[in-house]
Amino acid sequence: MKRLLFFFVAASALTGSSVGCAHVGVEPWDRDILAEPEMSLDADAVDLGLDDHIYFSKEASSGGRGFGGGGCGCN
Amino acid sequence: MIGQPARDRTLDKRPDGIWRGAFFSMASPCELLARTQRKSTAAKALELVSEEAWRIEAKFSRYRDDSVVAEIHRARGSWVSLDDETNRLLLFAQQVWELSSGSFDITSGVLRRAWSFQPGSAPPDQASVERLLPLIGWSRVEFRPPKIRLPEGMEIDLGGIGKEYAVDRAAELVSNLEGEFLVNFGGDLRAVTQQAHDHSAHGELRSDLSDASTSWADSTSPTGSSSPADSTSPTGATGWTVGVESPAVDDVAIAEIHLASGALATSGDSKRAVVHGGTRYGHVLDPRTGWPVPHAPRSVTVHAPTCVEAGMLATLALLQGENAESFLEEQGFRHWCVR
Amino acid sequence: MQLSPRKNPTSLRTGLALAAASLLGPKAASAAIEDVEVGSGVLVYTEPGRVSALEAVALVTRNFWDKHKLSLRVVYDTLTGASPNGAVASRSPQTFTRPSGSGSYTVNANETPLDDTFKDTRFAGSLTYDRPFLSAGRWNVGLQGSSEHDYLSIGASTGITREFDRKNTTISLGVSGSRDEISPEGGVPTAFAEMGAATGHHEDDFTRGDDGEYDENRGEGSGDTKSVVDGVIGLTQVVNRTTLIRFNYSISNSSGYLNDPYKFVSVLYGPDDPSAGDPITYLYEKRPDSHTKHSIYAQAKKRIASTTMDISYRFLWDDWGITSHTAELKHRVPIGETVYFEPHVRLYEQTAADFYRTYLLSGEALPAEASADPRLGPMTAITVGNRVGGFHVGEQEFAVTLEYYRQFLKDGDQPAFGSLEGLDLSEDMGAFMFRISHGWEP
Repeated sequence: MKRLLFFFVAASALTGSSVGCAHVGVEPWDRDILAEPEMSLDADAVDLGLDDHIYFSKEASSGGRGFGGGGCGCN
Repeated sequence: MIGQPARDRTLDKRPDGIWRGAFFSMASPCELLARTQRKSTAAKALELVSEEAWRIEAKFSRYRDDSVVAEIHRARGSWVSLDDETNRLLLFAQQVWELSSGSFDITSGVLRRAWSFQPGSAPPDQASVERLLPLIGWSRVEFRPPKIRLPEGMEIDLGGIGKEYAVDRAAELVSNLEGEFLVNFGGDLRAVTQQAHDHSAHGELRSDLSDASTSWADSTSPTGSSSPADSTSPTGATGWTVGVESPAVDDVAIAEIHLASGALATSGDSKRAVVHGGTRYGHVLDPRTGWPVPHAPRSVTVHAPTCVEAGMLATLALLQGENAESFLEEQGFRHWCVR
Repeated sequence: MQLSPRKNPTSLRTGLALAAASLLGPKAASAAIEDVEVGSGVLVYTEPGRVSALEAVALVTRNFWDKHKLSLRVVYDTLTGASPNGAVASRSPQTFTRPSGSGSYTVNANETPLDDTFKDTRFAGSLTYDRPFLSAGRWNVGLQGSSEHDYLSIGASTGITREFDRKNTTISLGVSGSRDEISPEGGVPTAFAEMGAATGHHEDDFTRGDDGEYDENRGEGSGDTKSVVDGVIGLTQVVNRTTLIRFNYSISNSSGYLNDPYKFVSVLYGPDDPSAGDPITYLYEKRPDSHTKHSIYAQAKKRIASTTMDISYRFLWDDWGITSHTAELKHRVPIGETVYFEPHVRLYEQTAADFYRTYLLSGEALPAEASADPRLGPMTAITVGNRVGGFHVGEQEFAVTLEYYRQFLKDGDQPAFGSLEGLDLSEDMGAFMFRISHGWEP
């Protein structure tokens, strides 16, 4: 538990500098990096779907990123 | 040669922060709207767009002695060599002629010799129309790219394509600049939107936020003719809100369209019709008969990916007469018809 | 050139689009061209000595020029092998009736009981239509279906999104619902009924209607149903040119038949009995008939130099007493023109459901609910892996991923006693996952 929380705090620090900035958001012509496919929050949708199904059937938790899934007798 | 037309352009920043450039070309007021931070970007865009409009006007106008069209007419039955751009425009005209079974024909302009749409004028007699018919028909033209030979007495008129072509060309020129633009040449317009990134709020909803959204102000009867484009929607929304004007009443928008992508073009003009002996003769002439297409809408506006497509569809719809709406339904394009 | 106008052009729309493309050049027309995206993937999942699964998925998206879009997703998976049946290990061999009621299997002494009967094939599909909605929004609607020999699910979903502030902020809302039908092999077992003795029929000629004990205890009919309703509300924010974050809150309610019809709870002789810790019998599990889960999900994506970092965290809590934390990190590092490495770490921890029992004791009052399904017990899990992607073959792009997943099951609140002392009552599980995924934009 402690380990997990530490991990998350460390991870948040990565983005911390920008979250604190007053000018949140970019102009349309500054979207060059954000427009790259790997910057999509759902990049590699096929892989994400395959993984979600495995964890859905092996753990008590599901969903979060999207709907909780289901429609499967595996859990 | 007619004197060089005035080539003035103005650039202003509107209260809503959008740059508006204005100039005159192809017998129409033209404008460029730019949502960009830097004045230099807006100025560059206006320069590109206006120079392109003037270039195309000069090259293809049938009113100018130094145009390619004038050169083809002057050849009086001999072969003329064409440059690449003219070849492409004529090939496009030929393809639309084929697709429309001959109802769109760039040689039909000679009918103007018989038809005058000045107020109070009468329709021509059948004989004077029939005299012109042998001078109409793309099939009579010998077009062997890159050469063309037009039989003597025939004319070609790229007026039905040129303005829309200029809009698409201008839109392409500004597409590399930073910002969002709307190119509007006398009511034929095209939106140039930045390709935004793809970030969905959550995966399974598969929301695709990468693209500007297109939506339509669904007024009860969304019909109308062209018209000047207006500005932006409220904060943050991208794309352009475009007013569609009624052809009957100037400056009254009867529909508002949110244009985020693609182009709008309008064919038709209520001011060009002859009313004689109780019959209204519309200005849409069928090149195969030389007479107005019965029951044609007064104007048709079409939304399509490119302005040339929108313009051709609007023109072809007019030629369908009373079937204009069903024709556009069938083709699956958003449209607004005014009858 | 003499031409005659063509009659009945096959498609004016297409012809015109092609004509416009050749007039304006491919670049100018490209923004407007409609396209199809195809993605597919195959996953091989294997728990050495236990189950193996093969899952294949194909996703086809048709983008229309006017920003409408239609996606079809098709999934096939097949699972074979042995899976824990919930009973605890014992000092002597244990015999269990197969779910069908015909035949039985015996588990060696000191081993975690696994039901080796599992063999299942699933087909699932979903169709989603997504279109612009009002001036800065989108609206989508979808249908889903999934079918197995003992399970059928039909569902629908819809959602809207709205953009604000130059598309830097996006709010989304979505709901989905599904209706599932469970028809276990051998019928629906009565909750807390004893596992029946095998009928001795072969699976092929198994017939119901014989008055055996097995059928009595599978007396709830051939099927039952379950309804699931989900809601998600999300916020996505562009922070700066290189950073993107998102927060979701989700709620999900399931009601109806929520038991796993193939799971047992061991009933053991109590500590005071001479045979303390030995199994007496096995009961079918019983879970509550309603389950509400909530989760908060946060994700950040950041470009750092040429690398892309993806961090996410999920906190989930439910009315069964389970809470879980999931943290994930992916870091994509380019190692060539297009090829990249993407190491991945996932940490997961969950607490047990209130009704989770490693075993029940004879003489004790039966609780309201009980399940010994290890998936409802306390655990920590870790996944580590690496994805290597960006391989191009023509217009096709490929990626391969190898990961190892390990579940560290923790002992529940109930102590080992009597003959259970020294047995591993919560055996860890490890699995390898190998994926090949592919993308194509023809």
